[in-house]
Amino acid sequence: MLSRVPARSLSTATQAIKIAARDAPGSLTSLSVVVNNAGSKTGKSGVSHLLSKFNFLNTGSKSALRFTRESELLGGVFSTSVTRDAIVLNTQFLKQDLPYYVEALGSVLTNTSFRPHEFVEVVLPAAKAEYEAAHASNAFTALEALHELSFRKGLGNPLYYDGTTKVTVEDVEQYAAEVYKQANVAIYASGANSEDLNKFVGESSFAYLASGSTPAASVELFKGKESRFRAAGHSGAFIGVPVKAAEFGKYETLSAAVGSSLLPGAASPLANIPGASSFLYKYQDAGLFVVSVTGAAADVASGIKQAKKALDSVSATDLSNATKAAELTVALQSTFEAPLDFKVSAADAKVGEFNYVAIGDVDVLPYASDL
Amino acid sequence: MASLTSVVKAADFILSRPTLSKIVNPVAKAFVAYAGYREMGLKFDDLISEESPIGQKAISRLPEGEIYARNYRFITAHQCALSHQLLPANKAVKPEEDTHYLIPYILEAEKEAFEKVELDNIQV
Repeated sequence: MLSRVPARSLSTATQAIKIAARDAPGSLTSLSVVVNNAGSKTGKSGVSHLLSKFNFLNTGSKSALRFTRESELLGGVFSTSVTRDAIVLNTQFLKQDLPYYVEALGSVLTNTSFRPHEFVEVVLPAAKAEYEAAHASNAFTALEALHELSFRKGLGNPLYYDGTTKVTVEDVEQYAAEVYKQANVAIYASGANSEDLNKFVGESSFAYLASGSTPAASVELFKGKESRFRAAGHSGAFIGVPVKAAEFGKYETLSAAVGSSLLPGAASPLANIPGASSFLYKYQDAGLFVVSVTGAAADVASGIKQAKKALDSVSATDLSNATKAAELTVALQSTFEAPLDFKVSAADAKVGEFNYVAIGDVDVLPYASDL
Repeated sequence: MASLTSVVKAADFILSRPTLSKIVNPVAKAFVAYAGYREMGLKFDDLISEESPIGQKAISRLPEGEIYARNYRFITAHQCALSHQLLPANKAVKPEEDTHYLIPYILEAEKEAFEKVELDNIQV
Protein backbone atom coordinates (compact mmCIF):
# COMPACT_ATOMS: atom_id res chain seq x y z
CA MET A 1 0.00 0.00 0.00
CA LEU A 2 2.85 2.32 0.83
CA SER A 3 4.32 1.87 -2.63
CA ARG A 4 1.06 2.88 -4.28
CA VAL A 5 0.84 6.37 -2.80
CA PRO A 6 3.94 7.88 -4.44
CA ALA A 7 3.07 6.25 -7.76
CA ARG A 8 -0.30 7.97 -7.79
CA SER A 9 1.08 11.35 -6.79
CA LEU A 10 3.69 11.07 -9.55
CA SER A 11 1.12 10.42 -12.25
CA THR A 12 -0.96 13.43 -11.24
CA ALA A 13 2.16 15.56 -11.08
CA THR A 14 2.83 15.09 -14.78
CA GLN A 15 -0.69 15.77 -16.05
CA ALA A 16 0.10 19.28 -17.22
CA ILE A 17 2.85 17.97 -19.50
CA LYS A 18 1.65 17.53 -23.07
CA ILE A 19 2.50 14.04 -24.28
CA ALA A 20 2.02 12.84 -27.85
CA ALA A 21 3.07 9.42 -29.06
CA ARG A 22 2.62 7.53 -32.28
CA ASP A 23 3.68 4.11 -33.43
CA ALA A 24 6.15 3.79 -36.24
CA PRO A 25 7.49 0.77 -38.12
CA GLY A 26 11.07 -0.34 -37.55
CA SER A 27 13.08 -0.41 -34.35
CA LEU A 28 13.76 3.33 -33.99
CA THR A 29 12.20 5.68 -31.48
CA SER A 30 12.55 9.46 -31.78
CA LEU A 31 11.83 11.20 -28.52
CA SER A 32 11.77 14.99 -28.40
CA VAL A 33 11.13 17.38 -25.57
CA VAL A 34 10.05 20.86 -26.59
CA VAL A 35 10.13 23.52 -23.90
CA ASN A 36 7.86 26.28 -25.18
CA ASN A 37 8.30 29.94 -24.20
CA ALA A 38 11.94 29.11 -23.47
CA GLY A 39 13.51 30.21 -26.75
CA SER A 40 15.55 33.29 -27.42
CA LYS A 41 12.44 35.51 -27.36
CA THR A 42 12.16 35.16 -23.56
CA GLY A 43 14.60 36.23 -20.89
CA LYS A 44 17.85 38.14 -21.11
CA SER A 45 19.28 37.95 -24.61
CA GLY A 46 21.44 34.89 -25.12
CA VAL A 47 20.53 33.19 -21.85
CA SER A 48 18.31 30.59 -23.50
CA HIS A 49 21.09 29.66 -25.91
CA LEU A 50 23.42 29.13 -22.95
CA LEU A 51 20.76 27.10 -21.15
CA SER A 52 20.36 24.88 -24.22
CA LYS A 53 24.11 24.25 -24.12
CA PHE A 54 23.76 23.14 -20.49
CA ASN A 55 21.38 20.36 -21.50
CA PHE A 56 22.86 16.87 -21.21
CA LEU A 57 25.71 18.10 -18.99
CA ASN A 58 26.26 16.93 -15.41
CA THR A 59 23.12 16.17 -13.47
CA GLY A 60 22.76 15.27 -9.83
CA SER A 61 22.50 11.60 -10.70
CA LYS A 62 24.89 11.21 -13.60
CA SER A 63 27.89 12.97 -15.11
CA ALA A 64 27.83 14.23 -18.69
CA LEU A 65 30.60 11.82 -19.64
CA ARG A 66 28.79 8.82 -18.19
CA PHE A 67 25.58 9.72 -20.02
CA THR A 68 27.45 10.14 -23.29
CA ARG A 69 29.26 6.82 -22.97
CA GLU A 70 26.15 4.94 -21.85
CA SER A 71 24.30 6.44 -24.77
CA GLU A 72 27.02 5.23 -27.15
CA LEU A 73 26.83 1.73 -25.69
CA LEU A 74 23.03 1.60 -25.90
CA GLY A 75 23.11 2.96 -29.45
CA GLY A 76 21.43 6.33 -29.08
CA VAL A 77 22.09 9.87 -30.20
CA PHE A 78 21.03 13.10 -28.54
CA SER A 79 21.17 16.77 -29.40
CA THR A 80 19.77 20.05 -28.19
CA SER A 81 19.04 23.31 -29.94
CA VAL A 82 17.45 26.66 -29.37
CA THR A 83 14.87 28.33 -31.59
CA ARG A 84 13.19 31.70 -31.17
CA ASP A 85 10.21 29.99 -29.55
CA ALA A 86 11.56 27.02 -27.68
CA ILE A 87 14.43 24.90 -26.43
CA VAL A 88 14.33 21.52 -28.14
CA LEU A 89 15.93 18.30 -26.92
CA ASN A 90 16.10 15.47 -29.43
CA THR A 91 16.99 11.84 -28.84
CA GLN A 92 16.93 8.85 -31.16
CA PHE A 93 17.44 5.31 -29.94
CA LEU A 94 16.33 1.68 -30.22
CA LYS A 95 12.78 0.99 -29.07
CA GLN A 96 13.68 -1.02 -25.95
CA ASP A 97 15.64 1.89 -24.42
CA LEU A 98 12.62 4.18 -23.99
CA PRO A 99 12.64 4.22 -20.14
CA TYR A 100 16.35 5.08 -20.06
CA TYR A 101 15.95 8.12 -22.30
CA VAL A 102 12.74 9.31 -20.66
CA GLU A 103 14.61 9.32 -17.36
CA ALA A 104 17.63 11.02 -18.94
CA LEU A 105 15.52 13.80 -20.47
CA GLY A 106 13.59 14.19 -17.23
CA SER A 107 16.75 14.66 -15.20
CA VAL A 108 18.06 17.21 -17.73
CA LEU A 109 15.00 19.36 -17.03
CA THR A 110 14.82 18.84 -13.28
CA ASN A 111 18.24 17.92 -11.98
CA THR A 112 20.99 19.64 -14.00
CA SER A 113 23.84 20.64 -11.66
CA PHE A 114 24.87 23.94 -13.35
CA ARG A 115 28.49 23.64 -12.17
CA PRO A 116 30.36 26.92 -12.62
CA HIS A 117 33.37 25.21 -14.22
CA GLU A 118 31.17 23.59 -16.88
CA PHE A 119 29.91 27.04 -17.80
CA VAL A 120 33.45 28.25 -18.48
CA GLU A 121 34.91 25.04 -19.89
CA VAL A 122 32.03 23.67 -21.98
CA VAL A 123 29.02 25.95 -22.30
CA LEU A 124 30.63 29.26 -23.26
CA PRO A 125 33.06 27.83 -25.85
CA ALA A 126 30.28 25.73 -27.42
CA ALA A 127 27.95 28.72 -27.54
CA LYS A 128 30.66 30.94 -29.01
CA ALA A 129 31.52 28.35 -31.67
CA GLU A 130 27.86 28.03 -32.66
CA TYR A 131 27.48 31.79 -32.80
CA GLU A 132 30.55 32.18 -35.00
CA ALA A 133 29.61 29.30 -37.28
CA ALA A 134 26.18 30.82 -37.82
CA HIS A 135 27.49 34.33 -38.36
CA ALA A 136 30.05 33.09 -40.89
CA SER A 137 27.08 33.30 -43.24
CA ASN A 138 26.08 36.83 -44.21
CA ALA A 139 22.54 35.60 -44.81
CA PHE A 140 22.20 34.58 -41.17
CA THR A 141 23.51 37.94 -39.94
CA ALA A 142 21.04 39.72 -42.22
CA LEU A 143 18.13 37.60 -41.01
CA GLU A 144 19.04 38.35 -37.39
CA ALA A 145 19.07 42.06 -38.24
CA LEU A 146 15.74 41.73 -40.05
CA HIS A 147 14.20 40.12 -36.97
CA GLU A 148 15.59 42.88 -34.79
CA LEU A 149 14.15 45.57 -37.08
CA SER A 150 10.77 43.85 -37.28
CA PHE A 151 10.21 42.90 -33.64
CA ARG A 152 12.83 44.85 -31.61
CA LYS A 153 12.41 42.88 -28.35
CA GLY A 154 11.21 39.31 -27.97
CA LEU A 155 11.41 37.66 -31.38
CA GLY A 156 13.95 40.33 -32.28
CA ASN A 157 16.42 39.13 -29.65
CA PRO A 158 19.55 37.50 -31.08
CA LEU A 159 19.11 33.76 -31.45
CA TYR A 160 22.58 32.96 -30.11
CA TYR A 161 24.61 34.35 -27.23
CA ASP A 162 26.88 37.04 -28.67
CA GLY A 163 28.84 37.95 -25.52
CA THR A 164 27.56 41.55 -25.42
CA THR A 165 25.86 41.25 -22.05
CA LYS A 166 27.50 39.38 -19.24
CA VAL A 167 25.56 36.27 -18.30
CA THR A 168 26.54 34.33 -15.20
CA VAL A 169 25.86 30.71 -14.41
CA GLU A 170 23.42 31.90 -11.74
CA ASP A 171 21.44 33.76 -14.44
CA VAL A 172 21.21 30.55 -16.46
CA GLU A 173 20.18 28.53 -13.43
CA GLN A 174 17.49 31.02 -12.53
CA TYR A 175 16.22 31.10 -16.11
CA ALA A 176 16.04 27.29 -16.10
CA ALA A 177 13.90 27.43 -12.97
CA GLU A 178 11.62 29.97 -14.68
CA VAL A 179 11.06 28.10 -17.95
CA TYR A 180 11.41 24.39 -17.15
CA LYS A 181 7.83 24.12 -15.96
CA GLN A 182 5.14 21.55 -16.60
CA ALA A 183 2.81 23.57 -18.80
CA ASN A 184 5.73 24.65 -21.01
CA VAL A 185 6.96 21.13 -21.65
CA ALA A 186 5.71 18.96 -24.49
CA ILE A 187 6.98 15.43 -25.14
CA TYR A 188 6.75 13.91 -28.61
CA ALA A 189 7.61 10.28 -29.24
CA SER A 190 7.54 8.68 -32.63
CA GLY A 191 7.84 4.90 -32.54
CA ALA A 192 6.67 4.45 -28.96
CA ASN A 193 3.60 3.04 -27.28
CA SER A 194 1.47 5.83 -25.83
CA GLU A 195 0.57 3.98 -22.61
CA ASP A 196 4.16 2.96 -21.97
CA LEU A 197 5.35 6.50 -22.54
CA ASN A 198 2.77 7.93 -20.14
CA LYS A 199 3.76 5.40 -17.51
CA PHE A 200 7.50 6.03 -17.91
CA VAL A 201 7.04 9.80 -17.83
CA GLY A 202 4.95 9.51 -14.66
CA GLU A 203 7.65 7.43 -12.98
CA SER A 204 10.61 9.51 -14.19
CA SER A 205 12.16 12.77 -13.00
CA PHE A 206 9.56 14.64 -15.09
CA ALA A 207 7.37 14.27 -11.99
CA TYR A 208 9.61 16.75 -10.18
CA LEU A 209 9.01 19.52 -12.74
CA ALA A 210 7.59 22.63 -11.13
CA SER A 211 3.99 23.36 -12.06
CA GLY A 212 2.90 26.46 -13.93
CA SER A 213 3.96 28.06 -17.16
CA THR A 214 5.86 31.09 -18.42
CA PRO A 215 3.82 33.87 -20.04
CA ALA A 216 4.52 34.36 -23.74
CA ALA A 217 6.52 37.46 -24.55
CA SER A 218 4.47 40.32 -26.00
CA VAL A 219 4.92 41.00 -29.69
CA GLU A 220 5.02 44.34 -31.46
CA LEU A 221 5.50 44.66 -35.22
CA PHE A 222 7.59 47.43 -36.74
CA LYS A 223 7.74 48.33 -40.43
CA GLY A 224 9.60 50.71 -42.71
CA LYS A 225 13.04 50.27 -41.14
CA GLU A 226 16.30 49.78 -42.99
CA SER A 227 19.75 48.50 -42.08
CA ARG A 228 22.98 48.13 -44.04
CA PHE A 229 26.04 46.06 -43.12
CA ARG A 230 29.44 46.29 -44.75
CA ALA A 231 30.80 42.73 -44.88
CA ALA A 232 33.12 40.58 -46.95
CA GLY A 233 31.77 37.55 -48.78
CA HIS A 234 28.45 37.02 -50.49
CA SER A 235 26.16 40.00 -50.73
CA GLY A 236 22.48 39.81 -49.94
CA ALA A 237 19.40 41.98 -49.91
CA PHE A 238 16.46 41.02 -47.73
CA ILE A 239 12.91 42.35 -47.69
CA GLY A 240 11.03 41.43 -44.53
CA VAL A 241 7.37 41.90 -43.69
CA PRO A 242 6.36 41.14 -40.09
CA VAL A 243 3.13 39.18 -40.09
CA LYS A 244 0.55 38.44 -37.40
CA ALA A 245 -0.10 34.77 -36.63
CA ALA A 246 -3.60 35.06 -38.09
CA GLU A 247 -2.15 36.11 -41.47
CA PHE A 248 0.10 33.06 -41.98
CA GLY A 249 -2.33 31.57 -44.52
CA LYS A 250 -2.30 34.69 -46.72
CA TYR A 251 1.44 35.10 -46.77
CA GLU A 252 2.11 31.40 -47.31
CA THR A 253 0.07 31.73 -50.51
CA LEU A 254 1.96 34.88 -51.50
CA SER A 255 5.23 33.06 -50.90
CA ALA A 256 4.13 30.16 -53.11
CA ALA A 257 2.92 32.60 -55.79
CA VAL A 258 6.21 34.50 -56.06
CA GLY A 259 8.37 31.43 -55.56
CA SER A 260 8.97 29.68 -52.27
CA SER A 261 12.40 28.32 -51.31
CA LEU A 262 10.56 25.09 -50.48
CA LEU A 263 9.47 24.59 -54.10
CA PRO A 264 12.69 25.37 -55.95
CA GLY A 265 11.70 23.68 -59.22
CA ALA A 266 8.36 25.42 -59.71
CA ALA A 267 7.98 28.09 -62.39
CA SER A 268 7.58 31.40 -60.57
CA PRO A 269 8.70 35.03 -60.92
CA LEU A 270 11.52 34.61 -58.35
CA ALA A 271 12.77 31.45 -60.10
CA ASN A 272 13.90 33.68 -63.01
CA ILE A 273 16.08 35.86 -60.73
CA PRO A 274 19.39 34.25 -59.75
CA GLY A 275 19.70 33.69 -56.00
CA ALA A 276 16.17 34.87 -55.19
CA SER A 277 13.66 33.07 -52.97
CA SER A 278 11.00 33.73 -50.40
CA PHE A 279 10.11 32.12 -47.10
CA LEU A 280 7.62 32.69 -44.31
CA TYR A 281 9.26 32.26 -40.90
CA LYS A 282 6.48 31.16 -38.57
CA TYR A 283 6.70 31.57 -34.81
CA GLN A 284 4.19 31.05 -32.03
CA ASP A 285 2.87 34.61 -31.91
CA ALA A 286 4.03 36.22 -35.16
CA GLY A 287 5.89 35.57 -38.36
CA LEU A 288 8.28 37.17 -40.79
CA PHE A 289 7.79 36.96 -44.55
CA VAL A 290 11.21 37.28 -46.18
CA VAL A 291 12.12 37.80 -49.82
CA SER A 292 15.84 37.46 -50.32
CA VAL A 293 18.36 37.75 -53.11
CA THR A 294 21.91 36.55 -52.45
CA GLY A 295 25.01 36.25 -54.60
CA ALA A 296 27.44 38.67 -56.23
CA ALA A 297 26.77 42.32 -55.33
CA ALA A 298 25.92 43.49 -58.88
CA ASP A 299 23.47 40.59 -59.42
CA VAL A 300 21.86 41.23 -56.04
CA ALA A 301 21.48 44.95 -56.78
CA SER A 302 19.47 44.29 -59.94
CA GLY A 303 17.84 41.12 -58.57
CA ILE A 304 16.27 42.72 -55.50
CA LYS A 305 14.68 45.43 -57.67
CA GLN A 306 13.19 42.79 -59.97
CA ALA A 307 12.06 40.76 -56.96
CA LYS A 308 10.28 43.76 -55.45
CA LYS A 309 8.59 44.40 -58.80
CA ALA A 310 7.51 40.74 -59.00
CA LEU A 311 6.18 40.96 -55.46
CA ASP A 312 4.11 44.07 -56.24
CA SER A 313 2.70 42.66 -59.48
CA VAL A 314 1.23 39.48 -57.97
CA SER A 315 -2.42 39.45 -59.07
CA ALA A 316 -5.47 37.86 -57.46
CA THR A 317 -5.44 35.07 -60.08
CA ASP A 318 -1.79 34.32 -59.31
CA LEU A 319 -2.73 33.97 -55.65
CA SER A 320 -5.69 31.69 -56.26
CA ASN A 321 -3.60 29.59 -58.65
CA ALA A 322 -0.95 29.19 -55.95
CA THR A 323 -3.22 27.98 -53.13
CA LYS A 324 -2.54 24.29 -53.77
CA ALA A 325 1.21 24.93 -53.97
CA ALA A 326 0.90 26.82 -50.68
CA GLU A 327 -0.93 23.86 -49.12
CA LEU A 328 1.96 21.68 -50.27
CA THR A 329 4.57 23.96 -48.67
CA VAL A 330 2.61 23.88 -45.40
CA ALA A 331 2.45 20.09 -45.57
CA LEU A 332 6.19 19.94 -46.28
CA GLN A 333 6.99 22.05 -43.22
CA SER A 334 4.54 20.39 -40.85
CA THR A 335 6.22 17.82 -38.62
CA PHE A 336 5.06 15.57 -35.81
CA GLU A 337 6.85 17.76 -33.25
CA ALA A 338 5.70 21.06 -34.78
CA PRO A 339 2.41 20.56 -36.58
CA LEU A 340 1.12 23.53 -38.60
CA ASP A 341 -2.62 23.91 -38.47
CA PHE A 342 -3.55 27.11 -40.31
CA LYS A 343 -5.58 27.28 -43.50
CA VAL A 344 -4.00 28.85 -46.56
CA SER A 345 -6.12 31.52 -48.19
CA ALA A 346 -5.94 33.42 -51.45
CA ALA A 347 -6.84 36.70 -49.76
CA ASP A 348 -4.86 39.70 -50.94
CA ALA A 349 -1.57 39.81 -49.02
CA LYS A 350 -0.14 43.30 -49.23
CA VAL A 351 3.59 43.90 -48.92
CA GLY A 352 3.18 47.65 -48.45
CA GLU A 353 5.69 49.01 -45.97
CA PHE A 354 8.56 46.62 -45.42
CA ASN A 355 11.84 46.27 -43.55
CA TYR A 356 15.00 46.05 -45.56
CA VAL A 357 18.49 44.74 -44.84
CA ALA A 358 21.42 44.96 -47.24
CA ILE A 359 24.61 43.09 -46.39
CA GLY A 360 27.91 42.70 -48.21
CA ASP A 361 29.21 45.24 -50.71
CA VAL A 362 26.85 48.05 -49.70
CA ASP A 363 28.50 50.46 -52.15
CA VAL A 364 26.60 48.65 -54.90
CA LEU A 365 23.45 47.50 -53.14
CA PRO A 366 20.35 49.71 -53.43
CA TYR A 367 18.55 51.51 -50.62
CA ALA A 368 15.02 50.64 -49.58
CA SER A 369 13.74 53.83 -51.22
CA ASP A 370 15.30 52.75 -54.57
CA LEU A 371 13.17 49.61 -54.78
CA MET B 1 51.38 9.78 -4.92
CA ALA B 2 48.25 8.50 -3.41
CA SER B 3 45.26 10.35 -4.73
CA LEU B 4 43.75 12.97 -2.50
CA THR B 5 40.48 11.06 -2.65
CA SER B 6 42.08 8.16 -0.73
CA VAL B 7 43.66 10.59 1.75
CA VAL B 8 40.29 12.20 2.43
CA LYS B 9 38.73 8.76 2.75
CA ALA B 10 41.34 7.76 5.34
CA ALA B 11 40.82 11.03 7.23
CA ASP B 12 37.06 10.47 7.30
CA PHE B 13 37.63 6.96 8.60
CA ILE B 14 39.87 8.25 11.41
CA LEU B 15 37.37 10.96 12.35
CA SER B 16 34.52 8.45 12.45
CA ARG B 17 36.35 6.41 15.15
CA PRO B 18 36.46 8.40 18.45
CA THR B 19 39.42 6.48 19.88
CA LEU B 20 41.46 6.75 16.71
CA SER B 21 40.74 10.46 16.29
CA LYS B 22 41.69 11.05 19.95
CA ILE B 23 45.17 9.72 19.15
CA VAL B 24 45.63 11.21 15.65
CA ASN B 25 44.21 14.69 16.32
CA PRO B 26 46.90 15.87 18.75
CA VAL B 27 49.57 14.45 16.43
CA ALA B 28 48.07 16.40 13.51
CA LYS B 29 47.90 19.60 15.58
CA ALA B 30 51.54 19.19 16.62
CA PHE B 31 52.52 18.57 12.97
CA VAL B 32 50.82 21.76 11.86
CA ALA B 33 52.46 23.77 14.68
CA TYR B 34 55.96 22.47 13.79
CA ALA B 35 55.40 22.77 10.04
CA GLY B 36 55.05 26.51 10.60
CA TYR B 37 53.35 27.30 7.31
CA ARG B 38 50.77 29.47 9.05
CA GLU B 39 53.56 31.73 10.36
CA MET B 40 54.56 32.21 6.70
CA GLY B 41 51.01 33.30 5.89
CA LEU B 42 49.98 30.11 4.07
CA LYS B 43 47.03 27.77 4.33
CA PHE B 44 47.41 23.99 4.24
CA ASP B 45 45.83 23.78 0.75
CA ASP B 46 48.58 26.07 -0.58
CA LEU B 47 51.11 23.29 0.12
CA ILE B 48 49.35 20.65 -1.99
CA SER B 49 51.36 19.86 -5.10
CA GLU B 50 49.87 21.61 -8.09
CA GLU B 51 52.27 20.15 -10.69
CA SER B 52 49.78 17.67 -12.12
CA PRO B 53 46.95 17.90 -14.61
CA ILE B 54 44.43 17.43 -11.81
CA GLY B 55 46.04 20.14 -9.68
CA GLN B 56 46.08 22.52 -12.63
CA LYS B 57 42.45 21.78 -13.42
CA ALA B 58 41.40 22.34 -9.80
CA ILE B 59 43.25 25.68 -9.63
CA SER B 60 41.75 26.84 -12.93
CA ARG B 61 38.28 26.25 -11.47
CA LEU B 62 38.81 28.33 -8.33
CA PRO B 63 36.70 31.47 -8.02
CA GLU B 64 38.57 34.67 -8.92
CA GLY B 65 38.73 35.92 -5.32
CA GLU B 66 40.30 32.66 -4.12
CA ILE B 67 42.96 32.78 -6.85
CA TYR B 68 43.84 36.34 -5.88
CA ALA B 69 44.04 35.48 -2.16
CA ARG B 70 46.16 32.40 -2.95
CA ASN B 71 48.67 34.39 -4.99
CA TYR B 72 48.80 37.06 -2.30
CA ARG B 73 49.64 34.41 0.33
CA PHE B 74 52.40 33.08 -1.95
CA ILE B 75 53.92 36.55 -2.27
CA THR B 76 53.75 36.99 1.51
CA ALA B 77 55.46 33.64 2.03
CA HIS B 78 58.19 34.50 -0.49
CA GLN B 79 58.80 37.81 1.23
CA CYS B 80 59.06 36.04 4.61
CA ALA B 81 61.50 33.51 3.12
CA LEU B 82 63.68 36.21 1.54
CA SER B 83 63.83 38.37 4.65
CA HIS B 84 64.32 35.35 6.97
CA GLN B 85 61.46 36.46 9.17
CA LEU B 86 58.17 35.01 10.31
CA LEU B 87 54.94 36.97 10.43
CA PRO B 88 54.02 38.47 13.81
CA ALA B 89 51.46 36.37 15.70
CA ASN B 90 48.57 38.69 14.84
CA LYS B 91 49.36 38.48 11.08
CA ALA B 92 49.83 34.69 10.98
CA VAL B 93 46.99 32.61 9.57
CA LYS B 94 44.68 31.61 12.40
CA PRO B 95 43.55 27.99 12.71
CA GLU B 96 39.93 28.94 11.83
CA GLU B 97 41.16 30.72 8.68
CA ASP B 98 43.06 27.63 7.54
CA THR B 99 40.14 26.34 5.47
CA HIS B 100 40.19 23.77 2.69
CA TYR B 101 39.39 26.03 -0.23
CA LEU B 102 41.11 23.85 -2.85
CA ILE B 103 40.47 20.26 -1.74
CA PRO B 104 36.80 20.12 -2.91
CA TYR B 105 37.93 21.15 -6.41
CA ILE B 106 40.70 18.54 -6.42
CA LEU B 107 38.25 15.87 -5.29
CA GLU B 108 35.85 16.78 -8.10
CA ALA B 109 38.63 16.76 -10.70
CA GLU B 110 39.88 13.41 -9.41
CA LYS B 111 36.38 11.98 -9.49
CA GLU B 112 36.07 13.01 -13.14
CA ALA B 113 39.47 11.53 -14.00
CA PHE B 114 38.69 8.24 -12.24
CA GLU B 115 35.32 8.03 -13.96
CA LYS B 116 36.97 8.63 -17.32
CA VAL B 117 39.49 5.85 -16.74
CA GLU B 118 36.69 3.54 -15.63
CA LEU B 119 34.55 4.30 -18.68
CA ASP B 120 37.52 4.07 -21.06
CA ASN B 121 38.20 0.53 -19.84
CA ILE B 122 34.62 -0.63 -19.50
CA GLN B 123 33.81 -4.19 -20.58
CA VAL B 124 30.33 -4.80 -21.94
